[in-house]
Amino acid sequence: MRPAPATAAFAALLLTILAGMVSPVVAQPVRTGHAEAELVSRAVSVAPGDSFRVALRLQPENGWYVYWSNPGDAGLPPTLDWNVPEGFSVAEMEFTAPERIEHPPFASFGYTSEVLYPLWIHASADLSPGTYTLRTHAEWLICKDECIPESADLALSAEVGENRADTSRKRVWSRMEERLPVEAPDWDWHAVYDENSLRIRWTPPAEQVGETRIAFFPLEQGIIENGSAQKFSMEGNRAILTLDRDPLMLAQPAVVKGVLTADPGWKLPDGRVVPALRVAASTEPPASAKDDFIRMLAVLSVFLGAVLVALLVLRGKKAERKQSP
Amino acid sequence: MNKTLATLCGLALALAASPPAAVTPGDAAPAFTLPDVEGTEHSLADHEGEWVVLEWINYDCPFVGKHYNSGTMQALQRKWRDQGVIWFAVNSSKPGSQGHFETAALKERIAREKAEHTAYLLDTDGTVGRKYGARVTPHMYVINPEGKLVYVGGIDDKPSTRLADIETATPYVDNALVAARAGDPVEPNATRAYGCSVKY
Repeated sequence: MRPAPATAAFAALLLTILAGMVSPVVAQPVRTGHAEAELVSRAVSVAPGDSFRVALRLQPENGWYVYWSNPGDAGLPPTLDWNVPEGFSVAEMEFTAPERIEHPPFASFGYTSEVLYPLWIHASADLSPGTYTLRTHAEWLICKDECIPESADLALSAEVGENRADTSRKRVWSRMEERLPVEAPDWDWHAVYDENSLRIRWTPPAEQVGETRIAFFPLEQGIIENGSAQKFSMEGNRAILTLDRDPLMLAQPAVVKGVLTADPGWKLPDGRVVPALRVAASTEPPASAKDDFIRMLAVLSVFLGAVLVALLVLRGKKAERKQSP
Repeated sequence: MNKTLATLCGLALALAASPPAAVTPGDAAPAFTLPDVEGTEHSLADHEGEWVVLEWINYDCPFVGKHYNSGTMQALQRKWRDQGVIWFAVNSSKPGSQGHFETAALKERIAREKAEHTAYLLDTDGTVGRKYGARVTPHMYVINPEGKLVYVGGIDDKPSTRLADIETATPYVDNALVAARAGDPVEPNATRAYGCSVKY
């Protein structure tokens, strides 16, 4: 028996709707006033109990820029407000090395071109295989001469099953990886506060690659005057970057943390050249200076000891002479 | 002649190179004389013996917008002016930049914002802004009747453009005025101001 045309039509409609509901969410870039925004994932699917890499991708319109975690003199970094199914946990957003964006006498820290803000998402071991939708409300400030707050509701399809990588967009992801700061090698990092300046000192290994355009980006606000030129110099084998302190001196941490960038980059012990280091420079004197000081004290005490003995001997001799007739 | 030239060159270089100086709580507030939107001149010296608030402003900055669209800045201005405080909105936007308006447009904008300041002062060449180290809008300064700064910094502690954040923010300026006028210590008396950079 053939179904009536109306029933057939209704069935077709129902099937179409159902198909739409089951098909995975395809992350489309959202166009805002001055940017393109989307969520990108490195995984096609993830195994329960594993983590996968996701990022907020922002592409500012030519001439506009978005911000780093410390935006500098003005601005705000992006924020993500997640709505994820149970079993998924989202880690903190990470930041690739920023650029200095100069607006004399000020400077901001951010990105003038396509940027990924990466983060890890963990899929619980209890998750049943299937396709899940992760949603986020992204807000950011985008600026040129003026600043405009923008936002977008973004979504990502996450398949739980086997671990399978998404090999599309290799270029964007590898550029992100390159520009993620690497923990600095133990080059004897030290920070010194003066009345008006903060000096960051380190001992670079002999084999460096002629790094230029060295710039320090503090994680915390209120330490340095962002717009001031940063001065690089060498004192023997110690490199020194001199920064003007923030006049209000709202922050004076004992350990100055930040990102140190250079062009083409820093040569690591393993031979890699990376554009950005994650630095923690303590105001505690570096080990070498302490050793020198102790050595100096040791020499001084021996010398003083010798002087004391000499004096006593002389005194003794004097007394002897007095006694003899 | 050579010495003068050298001094002038040095001065020019110094002015060009240096970021705005910053004033800190306890400092004497730098003197100024600025015209308002009507053309009337106002000097800090006119207000010896009075409490004065300086609010660096740019109506088109979304951070300023947060406080004006919610009505909270105007309410703060009204509250303190009713208690005899002099409240100056100061604009240091250079001509052609965001926040700079021609006179007629500015008067219309002030009316539209229902501003409750004592006067809107024009610091078009940025001299006063630089003397105060005004970095962003809004950037706030509270000056006591002895002419000393008792608070420098942000309007509150929530650096965002979201109106909803005002409700849960610590109102630094309001608190500073309450404390200072009662003779109590202002805490904090210096904070990081957030906003759009001043368009010098």
